[in-house]
This record gives sequence, structure tokens and C-alpha cells, in this order.
Amino acid sequence: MTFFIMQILPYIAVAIFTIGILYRLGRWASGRIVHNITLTPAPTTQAGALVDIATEAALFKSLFKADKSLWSGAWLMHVALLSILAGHVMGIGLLGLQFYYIGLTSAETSEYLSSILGTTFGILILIALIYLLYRRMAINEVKQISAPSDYAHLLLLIGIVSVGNFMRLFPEYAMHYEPAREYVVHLITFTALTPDMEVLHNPAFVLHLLLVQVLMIVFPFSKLLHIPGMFAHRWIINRAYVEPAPGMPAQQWVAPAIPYPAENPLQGGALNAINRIRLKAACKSQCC
Amino acid sequence: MPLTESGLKQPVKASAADMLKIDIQVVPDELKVETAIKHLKELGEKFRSLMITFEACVKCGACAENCHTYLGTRDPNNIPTNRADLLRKVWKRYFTPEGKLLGGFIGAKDLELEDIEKMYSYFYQCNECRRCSLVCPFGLDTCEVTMAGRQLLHWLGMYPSFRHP
Ligand code: SF4
Ligand code: SF4
Repeated sequence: MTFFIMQILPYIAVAIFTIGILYRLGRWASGRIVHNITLTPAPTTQAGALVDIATEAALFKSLFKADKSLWSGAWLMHVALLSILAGHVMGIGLLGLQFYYIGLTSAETSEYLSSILGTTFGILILIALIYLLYRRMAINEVKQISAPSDYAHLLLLIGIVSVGNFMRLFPEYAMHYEPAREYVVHLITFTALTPDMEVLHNPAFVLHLLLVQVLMIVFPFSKLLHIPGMFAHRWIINRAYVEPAPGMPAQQWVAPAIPYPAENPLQGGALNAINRIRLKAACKSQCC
Repeated sequence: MPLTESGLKQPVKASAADMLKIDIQVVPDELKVETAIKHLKELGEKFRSLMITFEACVKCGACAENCHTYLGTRDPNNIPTNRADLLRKVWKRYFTPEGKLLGGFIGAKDLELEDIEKMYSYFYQCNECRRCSLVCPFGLDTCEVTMAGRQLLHWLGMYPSFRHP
């Protein structure tokens, strides 16, 4: 079982994650942007639109205006999550020496700092996640719109984070940077693991990794798609307001080539069929 | 709006004869569900923003307190994301892998005739103000879903009467 989780599942998880995301993005890309649905107030320049999207992505501006308490939980959660992800890359990739390499601190201080930052953000994200879960159960409106999977996602994240914190806070289950790096190198180079490797003998680490892989597998098939979804959707609604909308045909009215009959001998449906042909011939837009 | 027997507030429907004048055949009840699913597929695949709105909502509820119809009625179906869910659940059920596989667990649902009647009520209780889009962290646009929903109902022959009462 451990062998399956550590040696085989990672490849399956990465494959499903990558192919799944590409499938979803490809499907979105196959849909068209046919109307100008810019959300007001809209900037008038492309740069202004990009600034809008960037502030939304970095600061959750709309959410801040709409709901301060949700914003606090959500923003804290996402910032902590990003820091933790970056911490994993730095810790495992550079063995926690990142601050030393950029010349800020000595090697020991860098490792210490890396570790203390990891623990701090680990605890912060747990608090934020528990608040989000509490909110989902306590606020009537949010409860009414929640599906079971909405709770499941939060519980999964709470599980991952709790096991991660557990390894940090209980030294006998701690996972140090070196063995983790050795394990990742084995995976990347497609080298078989050896039974004496430390990662295989730390149940907390195995559980942590298993839950992360579950998350990667469900990611492309769940609301976690909101991350690419946010950029894809804001790209449509947070545009510079110009007429005609960029990438869309100018919708100029051209008098239909087919004349109306002088008298209307046709009734009901048939007349409308003719009108529809006239309109279609006149309309330059490709939306129907 | 008058109450129907099912307790839903619905606009008075145009008669089949009136609908024919605008070239729409009223779809009989037994064909409504499959016709609606067919049209939903067309709409969702055509409009990128609609597909993203169906697939990227996180159910955070930020839109709830910002919709006038919800504030005025306190009817949970008037919470924007729930209004959009009338179509979103169906989209997920029939056109996404997770909905086909997990159904109700991820909030997907088979389409039934009464859901279509519900759509005819709630899609006509939205005033297309787009406040929901303005406050949504991703700008998801329930207003656009409502318009698509009205279009779909129109194709089914469910359209408010254009005669003066
Ligand atoms: S604010 Fe947006 S993401 Fe949140 S529930 Fe409403 S539509 Fe969904
Ligand atoms: S567009 Fe409709 S659903 Fe959205 S806030 Fe306005 S009334 Fe509510």
C-alpha cells in the first residue's frame, strides 16, 4: 500500500491533474465570447483592465467590498496556501537555504526562518479553513447553497494541513528537507525507491502525500477550477470598454438586401421565417 | 405575479396560438425535458462565459446579500447562485464528468418537469441588474445565466403573455 501511494500513485495523480486541467481549459476555449459583457465601471485601456484583474487576483477586491468577514478568511487562506506551496518548493528544492542564497542571512538562520515561516503559515491556514467551514455551517444562506462536496473539499484541505502541522509540531514524526528531496529526485528521475528510505517509514508523511494526491485528482473535476476559472472569466468581463468590443465584429446595421413584400400576404409563422432570413442576411455578428 | 397551483409565482404564459405567431411551437410537456437538455447543451457550449459560470462557482454566498430579489423575498431560490443552479445542476449532471459520476454529491441533478416550471418562475424574478457579478470574487454572471434560461424557456414555448390583461 505504502509502495503504491509513494511510487505509483504520484504519476497517476500528476497525469490526471494535467490532462484534466487541459481538458477543462480546452472545453472553455471552444466556447466563444460573443457579446460584449464588460462589467461597469470599466477602464478604457487594456492596461487598466489588466490592473483590475491583477488587483482582483491579488487582493480579492470585489469580495472585500462585498463581505469583509468572508474576505478575511478567504484571503488569509489563499495567501497562506501560496506561501506554503512556495515554502515546499524552496524548502525541498533549496533545503531551506533560500534566504542564505539571496544573501540575507547565514545558512543556519535561513533554515530556521524557513521552518518558522512554514509552521506559522501552517497554523494560519488551519485557522482560516476552520473559519470557512464554520461559516458554511453557521450562515443560513451559505448553508442553503452548499452541496456535500463543498464540505468535503474543506475537510480534505483541513486534513492535509493538519497532517502537515502534525509533522512540524511533533519532532518524532518530523520530515526533514533532505529525505524529502531525495524522494522527489527519485520520482522525477523515475528511479525506484529503496526500502530503507526514510519517507517510507513515516506514516504521517505517507498520509499527507496521499491526501495531496487525492486533491490533485479531484482538482480538474470540482469547484477548485475556480482558480483558472477566475482568470478565464475576468478576461471576458473585465475588459477595457471600447466600441466595438475587441475581437468582435462591428455590429453595423446594413439595410437588408431582401425587400419587404409591399403587401403582406403571409400570416404568422411564414412571415416570421422571411423576416428571420432578412435579419440574418443583415447581421454581421456571428453569434447565431 | 400570480401564484400557480404549485405555489410558484409565475408570469402569465402566452397562449400556444400567440406563440405560433412568433414562430415558436409550444413543446408538449412530455418532450420538454429532453428538448431543454438539448438546448442547454447548445447554449453552454456556445457561450464561454456561461460554461465558466456553470463550472467555477465555489458557493461562497457573497452574491446572496447583494441581490434585490433575494433581499425582498428571502426566498432561497432567489439567491443568485441558486438561481443559476437551476441550470447549473442540469449542466453538471449531463455535461460534466463529475456530475455524471457523482450526481447529487457535487450538487448535480436530473432535470424534471417541475424544475422547468421553477425556472419559469425564478428566471423571471431576476431583474438583470448584475450586482451578483459585481460582488462575485470571479465575476460570475448570474444575469447571463438568467438570460440564457429565458431563451431556453422561450424555445420551449414558455414565454410571458404579450397581451394586455
Ligand atoms: S459570489 Fe460567485 S462564486 Fe460566490 S456563490 Fe455567488 S456566484 Fe458563486
Ligand atoms: S442580476 Fe438577477 S440574480 Fe443577479 S443580483 Fe440582479 S436580480 Fe439578483
